[in-house]
Amino acid sequence: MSSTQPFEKNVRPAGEVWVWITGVGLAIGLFMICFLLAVIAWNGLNFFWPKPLAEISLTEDGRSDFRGERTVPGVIIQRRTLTAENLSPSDADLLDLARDNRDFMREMMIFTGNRDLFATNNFAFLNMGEITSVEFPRELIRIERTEWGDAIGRPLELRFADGRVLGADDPAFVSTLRDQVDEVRDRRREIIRIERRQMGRINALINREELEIRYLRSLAEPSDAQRRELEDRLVRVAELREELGPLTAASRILRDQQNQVRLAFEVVGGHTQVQPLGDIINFYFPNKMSLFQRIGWFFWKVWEFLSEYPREANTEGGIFPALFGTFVMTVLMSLAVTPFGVLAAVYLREYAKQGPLVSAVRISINNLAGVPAIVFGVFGLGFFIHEVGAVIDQVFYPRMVAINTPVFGTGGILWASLTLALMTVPVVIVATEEALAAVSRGVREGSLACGASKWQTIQRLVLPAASPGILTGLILAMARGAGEVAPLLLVGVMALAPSLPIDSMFPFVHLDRKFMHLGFHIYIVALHSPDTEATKPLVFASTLVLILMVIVLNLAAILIRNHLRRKLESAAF
Amino acid sequence: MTGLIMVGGVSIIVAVFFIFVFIAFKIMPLFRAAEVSEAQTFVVPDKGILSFGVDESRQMLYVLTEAGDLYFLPLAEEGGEVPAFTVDAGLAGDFELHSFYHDLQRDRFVLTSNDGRVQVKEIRFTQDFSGGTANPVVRPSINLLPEVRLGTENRPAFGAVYSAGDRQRLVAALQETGDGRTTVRAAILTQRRTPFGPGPLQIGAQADLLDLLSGEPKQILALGTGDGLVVAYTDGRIEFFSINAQAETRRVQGFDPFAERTGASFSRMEFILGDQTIVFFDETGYHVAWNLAFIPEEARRLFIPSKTFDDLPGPLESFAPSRRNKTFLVTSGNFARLSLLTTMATRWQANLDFDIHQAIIAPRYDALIFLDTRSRLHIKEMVDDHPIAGFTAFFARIQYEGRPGRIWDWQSDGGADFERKLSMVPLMIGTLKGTVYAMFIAVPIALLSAVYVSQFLRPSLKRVVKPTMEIMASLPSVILGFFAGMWLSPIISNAVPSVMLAVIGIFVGALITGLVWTRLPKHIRLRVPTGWEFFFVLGPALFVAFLGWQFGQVVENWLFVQYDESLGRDVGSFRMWVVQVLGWDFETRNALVVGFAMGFAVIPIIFTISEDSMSNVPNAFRSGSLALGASRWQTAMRIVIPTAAAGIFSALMIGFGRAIGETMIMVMATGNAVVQDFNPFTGMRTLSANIAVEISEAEQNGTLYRTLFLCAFILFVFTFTLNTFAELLRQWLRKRYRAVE
Repeated sequence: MSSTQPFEKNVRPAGEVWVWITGVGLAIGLFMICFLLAVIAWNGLNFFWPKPLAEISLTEDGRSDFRGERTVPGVIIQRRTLTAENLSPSDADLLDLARDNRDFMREMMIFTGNRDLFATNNFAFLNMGEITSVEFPRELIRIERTEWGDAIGRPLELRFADGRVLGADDPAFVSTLRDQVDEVRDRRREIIRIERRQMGRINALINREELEIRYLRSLAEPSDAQRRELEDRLVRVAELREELGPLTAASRILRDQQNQVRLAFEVVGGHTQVQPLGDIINFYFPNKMSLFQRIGWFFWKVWEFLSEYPREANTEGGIFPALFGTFVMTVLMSLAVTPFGVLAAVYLREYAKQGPLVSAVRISINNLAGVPAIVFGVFGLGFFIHEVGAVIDQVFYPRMVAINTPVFGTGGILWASLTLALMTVPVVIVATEEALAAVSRGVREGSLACGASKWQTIQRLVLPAASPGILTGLILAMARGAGEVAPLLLVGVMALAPSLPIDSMFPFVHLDRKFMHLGFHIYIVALHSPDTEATKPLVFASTLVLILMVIVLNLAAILIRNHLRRKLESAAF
Repeated sequence: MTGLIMVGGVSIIVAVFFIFVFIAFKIMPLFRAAEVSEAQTFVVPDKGILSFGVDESRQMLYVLTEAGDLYFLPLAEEGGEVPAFTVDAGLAGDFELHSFYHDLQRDRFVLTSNDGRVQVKEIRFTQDFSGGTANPVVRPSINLLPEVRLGTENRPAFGAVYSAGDRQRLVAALQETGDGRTTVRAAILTQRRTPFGPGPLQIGAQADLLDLLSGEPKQILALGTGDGLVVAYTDGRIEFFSINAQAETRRVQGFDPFAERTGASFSRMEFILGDQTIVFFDETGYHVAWNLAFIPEEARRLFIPSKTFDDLPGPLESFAPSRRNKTFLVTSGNFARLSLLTTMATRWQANLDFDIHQAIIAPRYDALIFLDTRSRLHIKEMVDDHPIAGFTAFFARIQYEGRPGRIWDWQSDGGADFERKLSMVPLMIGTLKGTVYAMFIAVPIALLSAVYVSQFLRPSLKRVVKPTMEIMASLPSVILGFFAGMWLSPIISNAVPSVMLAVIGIFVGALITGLVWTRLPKHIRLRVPTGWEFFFVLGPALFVAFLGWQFGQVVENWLFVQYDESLGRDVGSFRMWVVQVLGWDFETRNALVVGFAMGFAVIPIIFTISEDSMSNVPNAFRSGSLALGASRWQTAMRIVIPTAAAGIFSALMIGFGRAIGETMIMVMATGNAVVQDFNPFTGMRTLSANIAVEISEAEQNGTLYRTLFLCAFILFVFTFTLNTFAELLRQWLRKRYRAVE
C-alpha cells in the first residue's frame, strides 16, 4: 500500500466564502429586528423621561426669532444639518455664512409648548449659528394642562381667591402649589365620578328612552297602547332629567371651586400668563430633579399613560380605553376561537382518515391562514354586520330598525371579535394538532385497553395532556388578534369611543358597542392627527406598549411550546 | 360526539368556501344588465303631445302639446286612464309655438315663436311629506324666464337652447335670415348680484354668428358653462364656438363625427349628463360620442372622439339622458336601447310591441317610460343598481371625459355628474409593485439566512434564532407601517445613494470577511467556531455598510450636486436629479420604504418555511455527501437546496401571498396615490389599501361597496391560488421525504 498523504496540510474546504455570505443574511435579519425594537424602545421610553428645559438666547440681528423674541424656552428635540436643497431662496446667504461657521448650516428643533399663547404649532426651528447661549435655569417649570398642551415658563406667584398672593421665592411656594394641584386633582376626580359615572348612567338611560320615544313618535297611527307607552316614557325621561338636576348642580359647584386659585408664570420675554389651577393636571421642575426623582417621574408617567383616558382627540393623555378595548376584544375572540379550533384539530388528528378530504381540510386551513386580513374585514362587514346583524336587529330590535338606528347591524366589538376569530382559527388548529400528536401512544392505548371509549380517552386523557399546547395556540392567536388592525377598520373600531365595552350599566358587557383598539389608535394618531410631528413621541409610546404585549404573548407561547417539545421527546418510546 | 367533531372539522372547509362564495355572491350584481319589467299602461288624453317628462316620485307628468300648452297630469297608482288635464298653463297670448327644445335633465322647455322670440320655462316640483305617508304630495310650478327676442327682423326662430352656467347664462337659437339662409343668434342673460340676493335676469349683449358659419346650421347646443356653442351643419360637420360675456364669439374647433361614414348626414346631437359629452346621430342610426378633453399641446379644452355605439336599426326617433348617471335611452321605431356612455355597454334593449313616440328615463333611474304613437303611456319598472360597473369598467382601458386617450384609472368619488373610474388594473399594478419591491428586499435576506440556519448554524443557537424570527413574524403590521411611514421614509428618501451603497456594502463586507478569513492560517481560522460565522461577519459587514453610507453622501455631492454660477452656490441633490433629469416623480413615502418595511413582514415567513423544508431533507443525504468528501457548502448547494427546491418555492409563494394582502404597511408607508409605474421613488395604491381607505365612503350594497368586495375577491383568488399551489407542493415534498426515509 502506498502511503499517500490523505490530506493536504492547509486544505481549504470549497465555498467557505459563501458560507459567510449566507451568514450575513441571518445577521441582517437579526440586526433588523434588534434595530427596529431598539428604535421603538428608545423613542417609546424617551416619551416618559423628564427632559430638561432649555432657555436659548439668540443673536440680536439674526434671522431666527420666536414670535419676535430673542429668548426661546423649550425642550431640545434634535439638531439637524440643513441641506442646500431644503433652504428657501431667502436663506441662501446662510451658505456664505456657513463658510466661516458650519453652525449656520445646522438648526435646532425645539418643543416650545405654550400653544395657547403663541397660537402656533408646538415646534420652533432655530439656526445654530445664531444661538449665543443655551442655559438650563433651575426654576423653569413645565405644566401639564387639560387644554392647549404643556406650558413652559418661570413661575411668578400663586393668586388665591381672597386676593392673597404667594410669590415664587417664598420657600413654601412649591409645596403650596403641590397641595393646591393635588386638591384640584381630587376635585377633578370627583367631577369625573359625578359626570361620567352618575350622570353618564342617567344620560344613557335617557338616550335609551329617547330612542323608543323617537320610534313611537314616528308612527303614523299609533295604537292606544303605544300612546300610553309614549306618555309613560316621556314621564320617565322627565323623572330622569330631574335626577340629573342635583348632580349637575354638585358638579357645577366643584367646577367653580376648581378655578379659584391661579398660577401666574412668565413665559418668553416677560409675557405673564395666568393659569387657573383647574386646568393644571401636573407640574414639575425638570431641571431641579435628581436622578431618582427622574426615575420616579418616569414610572409615574408610564402608569399615567396606561391608566388614563386620552385628552385632546387622542393627542395627549393616556391610552386606557384603547388597551381595555384591545383586551376585551381579544378575550371575546379567544372565547370564539378555542372551541372551533380545538374541535377541528381533534377531528383532523383523531378521527379523520387520511385521504383527499383531510388533504382538502389542511389546504383550507393553510388558505385560511394565508387569506389577507383585510379580506376577513370585508367578509365581516358584509356577512356579520350587514347580514347577521341586520337579521338580529329585525328579530330583537324591530323598533330600532324602524327609526334607522341599527344596534347589531353596525360595527361593534362582537363582530370585530368574530372576524378576528375566523382569521386566527388556523393558528389554534395547527398548535392543537401538534399538541395532540405529542400525547404518547401509550397513554391512549392504555386507556382504550381499560375499556374507555375513544371519546372518553380524548376527553379525559388526551385533551388535558394537550392543554399546554392548546394554550400555546390560543396565546399565539391572541398575539395575532391583538396586533391586527386592517379588518378592524371595517368592523367597528373607533378613534374615540364614548364608552367602554364593559361597564356598570346593565347588561354590563355591551357586545354591540364600538370600541377603541391600541393598533387602530396608533394608526389614527400617527396618520390623522392635526400635527403628526407633535404626536410622534406619543405614538412611539403606544407602539412600545403594543409591541411588548405581542412579544410577551409570543414568548409565553414559545416557552410553553419548548417545554412541551421536551416532554414529547422524553415521553416518546 | 364523533358526529359533532366531524361537523367541526368539515366546517373549516365550509368556512373557507363560504367566505369565497359570500364575496362572489356580493359582487355578482356588478355584472348584471338592467332588469326591465313588463309595462304598466296608461291612456293619456290625446291632445297632440309633443314631449313629456315626469317628477322624481313619478306621480305627475308634464306634457307640452302642439298648441303650445303645458299641462300637468297626475298618474294613478294602477294602470288605466289618466284623468283629465288638471293644471293648464297655456303660453302667453300671442306666442305662436314654432319649435321647442326639451331639456330632460333639468325639466326645462326652450320654446321659440314664429316671430323670433324665445321663452324658457322651467318646471319645478315641490314634494310635501307632511301627509306622513311614503309618497309625498307633489306640487308643480312653472318658472318663466324673461322672454328674449332674437334679431330685429321678427323672423321665425327654431332649435333654441338655454344654458345657465355658474358665471354666464346663454340663450341661442337658429333663425332664418331675409335672404333664405339660416343663422345662429345668441343672447347673454345677466343677473346683478345685490345685497338681498340675485336680482332679476336681464337680457344683455347679443351675437349673430352668420359670418362665422360655414354652412347651413341644423342644430345647436350650448355648453353647460354657458360660454360655448356647438353648431351642427346639415352635411354632418360640427363647429365649436366660444362666446364671452360681451357676446363676442370665436371659432374654436371644427370636426366631422361622421367622417368614417361616407354620405352620412347629420340628424341630431344631445348632451349626456355632465355636459361633457355629446352624442351625434346620423340619419341611419349610427351614433358616436365626442367629449371635451383638456389637450395639453393646445392648452385648452377641445372635443375629441371617444365612443362608437352599435347602430340603431333605423333613424333616431327619441333620445333621453339619465339625470343620475351617464346612461341614455334611444329609440327607433319600436326598438329601444339603454346604453352607458363610459363603457359603451348596452344596459338593456328590446323591440317593443308598440311604436315609440318618445321615451324617457325616470328621474330616479328606476323606470323607463314610453309614450307610443297612439297616446298610450307605458311605464316599465327597471332595476339597474350598478350601471357603471361591469367587466369593461373594471379591466379595460377607457376614454374618460376630460382626459385625452384611453386609460386605466381609479377615482371613485366626485359629484353626481362625475364619471367614476373603477378600473381594477391600476390597483393590481400597485399591488404588484409593492409586492415586487417587498420581495426584492425580503427574498435574498430570507433565503440566505434560511440556508445558513438550516445548514451551518450551531444547533444550540438555532433554538434562539428561530423564535426570534417568529417574533419578527408576529410584529403587528400597523407598527411596521408607522415605523416605515414616520421614521424610515424621511431617512431613506433624503439619502437614497447612501442607502443603496450601504446595502451593497453589507454584502461586500461579508464577501471581504469571508475571503480574508479563508486565507488566514488554520490556527486563526479555528478561532471562529463553526456555526458562529454570522456573528463575526456582522461587525465587518456593518462597518463596510457604514462606509458605504458615508460614501453615499460623497457620491451624491460628486454626481448630483452642481455649482450654479448664477446663484453662486451649490444646488441639486439625488432627489432633484431624479425629478429633473430622469423626469420621474419623487415622493417621500415611496416603494423603497415600503420594500424595507414589508421586508419585516415577509422575511420571517419565507425564512421559516424554507428553513423547515431544508432542515427536513433526510439526514442520509447530507451525511452521504459529507462522507464522500464534499464540503459543507457543496453539500448545501448541490444536495440540500435541489432536494428542498419545491419547499423553497412554496415558501416564496406564501411570502408573495402575504405581501399581496398586506394592508396597514401599504396604507401608512405610501401616499396611496393611484400609480401605474414601477418607479421606486413613488408610492402606490394596492387593492388592500384601497379597501381600507375607501370602505368608509361606501354605502351598503352600493356600487363602490360591491367594487371593494371585488377588490377583496381578487385578493382572495390571488392568495388562494398561491397558497393552494404552495401547500400541494409541500405535501408532495413531504411524501417524497417520507419515501426516502
